[in-house]
Amino acid sequence: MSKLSREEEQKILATPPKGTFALMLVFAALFLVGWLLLYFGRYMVLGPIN
Amino acid sequence: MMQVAPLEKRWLWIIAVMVAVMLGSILFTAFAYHAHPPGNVETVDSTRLHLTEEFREDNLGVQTRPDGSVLVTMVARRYGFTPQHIEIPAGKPVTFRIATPDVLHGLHIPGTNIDTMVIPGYVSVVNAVINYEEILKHGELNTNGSVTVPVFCNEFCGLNHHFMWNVVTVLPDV
Repeated sequence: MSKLSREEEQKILATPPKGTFALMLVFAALFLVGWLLLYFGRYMVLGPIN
Repeated sequence: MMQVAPLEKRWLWIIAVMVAVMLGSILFTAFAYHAHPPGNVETVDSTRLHLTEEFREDNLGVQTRPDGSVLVTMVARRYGFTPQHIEIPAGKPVTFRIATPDVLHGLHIPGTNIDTMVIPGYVSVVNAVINYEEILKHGELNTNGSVTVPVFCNEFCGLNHHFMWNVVTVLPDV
């Protein structure tokens, strides 16, 4: 494993983590798709009530 | 001034989009399909329920209104529903009006979103449109194309709660 220089280390620490952001996007997309499937695919398909 | 990390800012935006999509869906279906929790508050004297015009035994059951919509008047009591068997059409507006003379009951029709508590002293009103294809997945298909589904009390109402059931036959859309 190559040793990072002081500048490279500082650059990485100063920028927001891309992997975490990607993970957040995946979680949000899965959550939203799941919610929409339940709402429109399981709840609304049974017929609206009021 | 409060410091918010860039990643947290992004997460806040993601949450805002999620909430907007979910709220937008709920508002869209509320306005376009009138899909919202039943909000009727109507009181009735439970001790004199059988003496009221609407919930007298002779007047219970299914009535078809001139516009084709259906009104179902039922009484839930320990341990059964009156009437014991009802026939309602799919694809048409159905209004359930249910009351109880004794304790808390529930009404749940599988394959529909009809699921309400029947509280002593109140008339529970649920307006619904039954989807034939969905009820077909939960019931028994009869030779004439109608589907029979069992109806359950889903609020514990006493020792024989598990014997409290009813039958609904859903007629196909014509």
